[in-house]
Amino acid sequence: VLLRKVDKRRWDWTADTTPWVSPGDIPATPVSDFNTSIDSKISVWYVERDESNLERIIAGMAATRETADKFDYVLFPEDVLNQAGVTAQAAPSRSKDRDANAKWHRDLVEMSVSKLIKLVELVHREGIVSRSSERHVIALIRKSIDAGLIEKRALHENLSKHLSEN
Amino acid sequence: LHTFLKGSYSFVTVIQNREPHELGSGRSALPASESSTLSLEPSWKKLDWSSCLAGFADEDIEDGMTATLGERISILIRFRGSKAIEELKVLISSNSISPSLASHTLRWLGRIKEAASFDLRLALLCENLRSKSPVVRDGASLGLAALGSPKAIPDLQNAIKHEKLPGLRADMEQVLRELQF
Repeated sequence: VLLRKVDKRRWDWTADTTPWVSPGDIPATPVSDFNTSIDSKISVWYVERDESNLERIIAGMAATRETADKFDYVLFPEDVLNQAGVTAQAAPSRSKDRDANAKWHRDLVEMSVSKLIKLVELVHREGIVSRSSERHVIALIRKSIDAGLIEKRALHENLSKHLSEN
Repeated sequence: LHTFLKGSYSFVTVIQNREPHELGSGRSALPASESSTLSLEPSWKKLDWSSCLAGFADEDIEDGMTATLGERISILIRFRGSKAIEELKVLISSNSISPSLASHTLRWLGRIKEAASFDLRLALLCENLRSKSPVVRDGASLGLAALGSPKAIPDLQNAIKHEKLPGLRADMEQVLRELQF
């Protein structure tokens, strides 16, 4: 399974709220959650089948922020990449969990517009959009700090303060 | 924060001289040596939402990247209290600020720890559970989660009952569980 950080509100609609969308089509909003880098890459994370590394990935990413906040993400099957003709490569990441970066971060490379649209359509169809609440995110970061996976001194001053207060 | 307070140096001086214990991290916006030479005129009275929200364009607001916004809102609410909250109510209901910015502002209303404005903040958050914008409804719900008051439960239950978007309904239910726990 692969994980991509998203904004859950971009994936939430009904036929009533988007009457202008043709049957079988979807609104364009989810596309902006798959923004590419300047060299047409998209950052994703490999999540084990039993999701045993999910919390670490969320904690590592959330720990790069200035403050605690909810964390929205979509999980989608890896074979979606084959269907969209997309290739994944191991790549560095700036998440605060260095070990997780080395093990589980991937870049989707050589993304074209047609591949991107296909990918977003497939992720919408086969993915599951979820949210970790702010309270849960704080707990996950604390857990990773306690386990020595994230260095507390590497956190933004505000986030560090927030963790101490709550 | 430094940019925000650039035009309000005297504000910093006044609050440093009078009420330093109330300031939190906003106090470090200027070096003491710089602020000590500034006017004592209380220009903090001119502090408003326009300057507070300046620089936060809709598409630039990422979850967890609003520390500066939070500091500004915290200062504004502490010093202008109910007036600031009433003004925010108008800004949101008249769509004068984007739904995304409204959402992040509402989250910060919930995070602020200030007893005096608690009831007004709670009321504004509950009111925005009925916003036309799902992004604003989400922000209100997240603000209530941060506020952590069981007083919000009836309004949240009502919002869940009327929520048409399945994802948002699930998110509100998650907040409800947190408040009930």
